[in-house]
Amino acid sequence: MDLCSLIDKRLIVFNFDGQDKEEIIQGVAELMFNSGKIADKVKYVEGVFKRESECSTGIGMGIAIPHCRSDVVTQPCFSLVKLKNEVEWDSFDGKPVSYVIMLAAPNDANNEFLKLLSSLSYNLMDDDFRETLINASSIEEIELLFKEKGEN
Amino acid sequence: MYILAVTSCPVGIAHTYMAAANLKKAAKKRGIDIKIETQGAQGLENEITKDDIARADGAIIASDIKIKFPERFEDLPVLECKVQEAVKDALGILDELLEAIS
Repeated sequence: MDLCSLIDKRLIVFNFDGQDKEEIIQGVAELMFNSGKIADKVKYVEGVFKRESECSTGIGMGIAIPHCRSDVVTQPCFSLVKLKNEVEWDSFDGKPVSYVIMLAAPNDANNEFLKLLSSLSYNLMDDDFRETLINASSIEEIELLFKEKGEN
Repeated sequence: MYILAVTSCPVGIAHTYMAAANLKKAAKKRGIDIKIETQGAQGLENEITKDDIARADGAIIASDIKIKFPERFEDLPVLECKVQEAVKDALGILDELLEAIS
């Protein structure tokens, strides 16, 4: 099993509309809810904001990775969302965010799924991987990248 | 020179692994041998052993929560920091430890 197996086309958007962090997290959670990944949007978003309050997920370089583990997550997943407009995210490097990777994992997820999500986080620190991902303009390009890179 | 590190965060699927990736990159840049144990949602991975402790020159604990088995590092010079500091500036953290033990 590789990262491609967790790709859901409904969670990949190349021109995502949202005015601020709150709106974008709500919007991506909506996508997750509509594609059957989470059973309760309100509770999931609550978990994400709780995590944000502990530590910003604006990891710099224009990327944010809001996330949480929650009982309301029915299928582990991630969004790959390129924003129409940059938004403030209280990032580590102070720069606005233009790409949002939101991670969702159930509390009882098996290690295989957790391993895939964490390998995505790990690979994001690789300059080539990150730049290829944020510059990708099709799902095929993303799938190819994930297949090449596999796990860390 | 042999450095150990533990990374950990409350959720255990993101910051833990980004910090580990950046510490690894920083060590490579300085030409230093490093072993990084991640304490994430999957539990302990790449676990630091007694042998590792015996031959290590120092350790970095990058965590926002209490790590598991901190007593292992009692006899080593340890630099503790928040996990986001290791994501943000792993090289700075590593250099700080190297300076302290050199």
